[in-house]
Amino acid sequence: MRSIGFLLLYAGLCGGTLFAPYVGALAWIWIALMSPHQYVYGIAGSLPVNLVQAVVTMAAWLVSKEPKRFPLNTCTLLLLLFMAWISITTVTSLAPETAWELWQRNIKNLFLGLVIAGLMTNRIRLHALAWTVVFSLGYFGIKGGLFTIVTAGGGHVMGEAGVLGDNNNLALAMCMVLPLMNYLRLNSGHRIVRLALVVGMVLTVIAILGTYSRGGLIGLSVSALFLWSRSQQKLLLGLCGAAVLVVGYTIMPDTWTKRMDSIQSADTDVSFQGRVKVWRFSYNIAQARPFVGGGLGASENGSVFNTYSTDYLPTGLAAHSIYFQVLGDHGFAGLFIFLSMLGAVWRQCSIVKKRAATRPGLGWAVDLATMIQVSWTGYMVAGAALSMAYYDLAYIELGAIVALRQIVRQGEAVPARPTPPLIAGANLAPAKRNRGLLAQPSVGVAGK
Amino acid sequence: MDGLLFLLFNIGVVLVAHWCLQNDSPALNGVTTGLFAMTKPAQEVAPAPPAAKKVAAPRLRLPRLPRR
Repeated sequence: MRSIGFLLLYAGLCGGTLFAPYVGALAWIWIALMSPHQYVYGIAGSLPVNLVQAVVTMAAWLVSKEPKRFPLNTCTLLLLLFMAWISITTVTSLAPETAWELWQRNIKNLFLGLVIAGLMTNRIRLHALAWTVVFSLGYFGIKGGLFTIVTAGGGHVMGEAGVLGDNNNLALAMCMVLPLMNYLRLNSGHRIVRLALVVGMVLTVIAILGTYSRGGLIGLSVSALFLWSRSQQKLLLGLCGAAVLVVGYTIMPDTWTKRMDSIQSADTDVSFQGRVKVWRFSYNIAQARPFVGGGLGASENGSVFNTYSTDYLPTGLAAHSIYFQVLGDHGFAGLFIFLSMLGAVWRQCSIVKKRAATRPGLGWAVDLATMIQVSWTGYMVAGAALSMAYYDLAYIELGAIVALRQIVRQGEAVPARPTPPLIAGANLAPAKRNRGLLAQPSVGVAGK
Repeated sequence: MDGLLFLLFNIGVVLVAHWCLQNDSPALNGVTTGLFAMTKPAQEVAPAPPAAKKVAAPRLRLPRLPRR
């Protein structure tokens, strides 16, 4: 039944892709983040839906009247360089079979960032992108939050399939989606939609606690602090955050508190010591092969691991850090490109905020850039203990900030003038502007 | 419960795509709304309002120049 439902919905989106390739990009985001085909039984579960969607989107883009280019700036150039570097290190990999398998999987994620940068050319598309991400990952947040409340924190929140099958990865994904929920809350017209988003955010925070992920808790705390420091409603946000934390701590059982307390005793924690072993391996292999590293997934290959590690592990281990993952896979050169890319996205967010803040009608762009920056902070902090260097959402956000920069640049070129409302009365529409900066719709939309 | 949530969120994605398609590409409005309109019952066609009487624009008369 689920399989048929999924295939019907997917067929509808494929039809939409033929009309407009940006709908294909939205469907691609949905499939990449949520992997809905892996949650159904029957034939849909075995189809390579992600690959099919990528091909259909690219074909639709090629035959459409959309411009076939993406903005070239520091972010996109570094992304292209990173893609090229990954391809080179796959050729020189010490474990070629694993590396090529991972390359096929990861290169699509990185390429999706470029597609988004090229196709999301106005406010409506970026707003739809934010909704798609929130629908795709909010499912886990809301379901996990309800599950944590019902089981009084006794049950662990886990994803069921794909990258999010791991509780730590799921916690990071939910940390990253929270700021986008907040962006939609700030820019939604209907009170009911805004209220639903607040409920969704609270449940997602509870779900993050329910994953029992220590990295997730640290990521959530840092993101929340950063969001609070950037907020104009510090008192309200502080009170809400405190209330959620108090409720969370009250709900969660002693086992959870003990697990979180073990952050302070990392020296004796077996799980943490395992991570230190693999980080040491990554450093060793990067020293031995500074330009190309060991290739994708090198640390998970037993023979490669034991050649370069001082500790013996029969099957190797996942890198457990985006930084050490890139260091081990692509050497110091790859890590340099990766770190530059992280910095470039951060800087791009700051530039967009600065430029858009001085311009009436681009308040939504300030909100989106701020929330992407908060989300990016969560990725950089929580990712320090997780193997998610090639996670789709990071590259989706990279593409989104590049597209947003382009829209703001176009807005700067067009003289400010009043434009008709974006959408009248639609549930998914941005607000009729309950905030000063958003008093007028975007110039970018008018100038599309 | 899980199945219902799953369905709702997936339908949400499709609705977002539809919303984007309608608002981003006005040229496609006819196609997408047309598909939805097919499911609606037929409505009586309201009589067209009477056409407004054409009022002739006042002619501009230039004063005649005196003959030489």
